[in-house]
Amino acid sequence: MIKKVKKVLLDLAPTNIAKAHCDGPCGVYDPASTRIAAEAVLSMTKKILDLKKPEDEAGQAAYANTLARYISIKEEQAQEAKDEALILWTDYFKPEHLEKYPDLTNVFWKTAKLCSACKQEVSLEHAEELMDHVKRIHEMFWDSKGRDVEWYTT
Amino acid sequence: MKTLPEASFYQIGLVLLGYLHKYVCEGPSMNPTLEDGEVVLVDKNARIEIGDIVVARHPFEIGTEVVKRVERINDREHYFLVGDNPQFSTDSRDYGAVTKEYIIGKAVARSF
Repeated sequence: MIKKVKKVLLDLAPTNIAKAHCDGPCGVYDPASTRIAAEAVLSMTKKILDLKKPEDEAGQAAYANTLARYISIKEEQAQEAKDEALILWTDYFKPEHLEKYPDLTNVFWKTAKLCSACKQEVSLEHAEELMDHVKRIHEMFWDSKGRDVEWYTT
Repeated sequence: MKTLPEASFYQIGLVLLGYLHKYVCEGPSMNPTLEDGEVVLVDKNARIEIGDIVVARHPFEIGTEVVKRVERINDREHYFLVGDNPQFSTDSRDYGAVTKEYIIGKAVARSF
């Protein structure tokens, strides 16, 4: 009863808003988005390396079209992986995580560099190295949340 | 850690007279001390000390006011503000300590 009276009285006063927030949709972070993009980069890299150039004239156009599509997707997904990783690095991880995971900054920095390398090159080695780094991000992320989430790929 | 007492009728009277100010907290960064939607009463003239919960102007978002706890105050009266739920808080760890001009007031009571 007393609480109700207090509430009624307080409702008469003008209301201000004080945000107790974080910048993103609070807590909605998941390294899966980085993994999916990095997997696409690896897949496209393999497809480009496996693509056979046709001997005949008729197959040239189809080959050029397929190769262009593979390259386009590889570049687009490498940028996507970089963007998603950088969001995790700058928005989710906090200074206290750095103390717990001393390699955190280096892992994200190398991840971003590998994304760039995968855009520029057709390198199976770098695409696989990118996946290794994304796996480490996955481990640090879920450990920081106190959850045991198994690493998997599609 | 300092907590807030429930608002008294006297304090509610001060709100109605304009001596204290009513703020509704939005978001999870002050959990578990303050839940999303909880009301705090703010004294704009109170002395601010380490450990106090304060309402402050966001240094980069014009028009946004935030509720955080004062973790430390340095020699030049720079206030380092941190949410009680640091994993889900954007605060001085991101935008740095704020000067006294950014502090609106101290939360002195709450109302559920």
